Amino acid sequence: MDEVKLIQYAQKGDLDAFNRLVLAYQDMVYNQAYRVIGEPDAAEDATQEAFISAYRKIHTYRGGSFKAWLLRIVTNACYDELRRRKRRPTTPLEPADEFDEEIESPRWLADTAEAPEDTALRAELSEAIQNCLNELSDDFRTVVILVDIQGMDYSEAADIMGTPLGTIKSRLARARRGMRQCLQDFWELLPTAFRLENEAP
Amino acid sequence: MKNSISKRDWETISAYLDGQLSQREQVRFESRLYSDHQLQIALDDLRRTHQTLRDAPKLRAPRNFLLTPEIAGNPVRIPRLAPVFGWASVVASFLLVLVLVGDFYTDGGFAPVKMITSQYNEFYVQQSEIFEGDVLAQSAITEDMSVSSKSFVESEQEAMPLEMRAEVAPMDTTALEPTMELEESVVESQESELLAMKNAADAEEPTSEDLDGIMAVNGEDVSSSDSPPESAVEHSEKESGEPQETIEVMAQRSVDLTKDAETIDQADTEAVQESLTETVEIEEAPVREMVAEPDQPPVATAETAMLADEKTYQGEQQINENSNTTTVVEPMPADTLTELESIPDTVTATKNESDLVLGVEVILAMGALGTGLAWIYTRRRAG
Repeated sequence: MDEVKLIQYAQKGDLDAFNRLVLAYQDMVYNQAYRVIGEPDAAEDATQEAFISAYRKIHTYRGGSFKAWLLRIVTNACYDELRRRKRRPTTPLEPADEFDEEIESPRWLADTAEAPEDTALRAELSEAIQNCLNELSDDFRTVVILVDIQGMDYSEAADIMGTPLGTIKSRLARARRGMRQCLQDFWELLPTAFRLENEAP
Repeated sequence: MKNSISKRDWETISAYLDGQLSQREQVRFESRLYSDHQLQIALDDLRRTHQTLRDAPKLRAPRNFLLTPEIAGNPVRIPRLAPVFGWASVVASFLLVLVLVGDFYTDGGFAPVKMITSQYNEFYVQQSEIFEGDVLAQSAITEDMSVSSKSFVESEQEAMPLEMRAEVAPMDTTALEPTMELEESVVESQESELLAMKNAADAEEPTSEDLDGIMAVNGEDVSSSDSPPESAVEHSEKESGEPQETIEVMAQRSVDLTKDAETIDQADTEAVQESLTETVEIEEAPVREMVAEPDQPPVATAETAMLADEKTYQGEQQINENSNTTTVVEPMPADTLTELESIPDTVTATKNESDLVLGVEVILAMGALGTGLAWIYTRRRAG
């Protein structure tokens, strides 16, 4: 069943149709939540809240990009979580295994088709990116995640964030400059293979 | 490198990477890029950053976020009428704005109130001018009469012999002075003065006693004579040797003049009464109509004032009639009468129209507000 029909059934109250949409988009939604918030547990809560809210507001969907519509809901859920955390700051816990040792490579990053070294590198890259994203302000971070990570165009990003197009352009340029400065040191540590891939035009 | 690249240049580079520059901007940037080495380095750095982010690992969801009926709850349905409320509030607001704008640019809603005021003002000013004109005319006529009466009396007195002048009571001419005051005390004094004037006019006709007196002054004893007493004319003729007809002629003339004056007065009075009767009958018509229909709302204060002014004007006519002066009263112009009769209906009709328009405006405003609130409520319920 295609996405349009699933949405129509979901709008009529079909929970199973909506859950099929959840399965199709939950990775994307969680990715957005994690990149914006920077913590896996909080990102998990925000993802759950986003899907519950999406089901209750499914009737407000008027067509267009369903992905952009979901990203808007999860971005708002992330901002709510960030505001909640600023009011009550918490000490993030590193994931631990059964022996209470910290897991440097969480299971959910594991890719069975990938070599362990690559997995480790990708984990480091992901962590480096996240560290650089955490140094940006909430608005700059969200813009660069929507455009560069999620692949949204300028107008979609403006619609999701509720800001003018010119604001999106200026914020994106400043966010990329910040990320460039932050990632320069990390690039030097990247293996040659990754460096060559990144230098491709 | 950082110092040579401006903030605007970084935005241009970022937009160039995403293909967001116009054709003209792209050509201009590429021409700069060709000659500016630092711009090229900045472009490369930004391109690498963009690519790194695009290649960032896509995280997987740690678990499935499927919803259960308990977790999902019931999805909120937008009431069917919510869009209707939304559009209804827009339409009602538009109509309200249209009516309000129409009030200011055309003679609509609030204009009848202005029309009532302006019509009343115009009519009142007109009536005031007519009233003042009539009063001025009346005073002018009265003044002319007093002047002519005074001159007549003075001329007659001059014509009389000195002996007769002494016997004749001096006529009080102050009552003939024109006055504009219509207070009761003034009116009463006027009436008494006019009566005195009339008595004085009667006193001009020499009585037999006066003649006896005159004769006695001349030494003639006429009281015991059987023959009819000599007329003053004959007596004076005997004395002076001149023809004695002058005094008799003068006396007769004064009597004739007095009779003529009385005749004129009577004729004028009758004419005035007739005109006044017509005026009163015509003007009393609207008053009778208003009295006959007690269910109608009372006439506005402005109209009552206008009618009171008319009655005062009629009262002045009555006073003039009593004063026995030959005041020429012109009947009220027909067009003024027509205005007087039509103004109450026009004012009432205009007032009703303004009330209706005001009611429509209030209903539209309440409708717009109500539908707007209903729309907001339904949207909030929808979440």
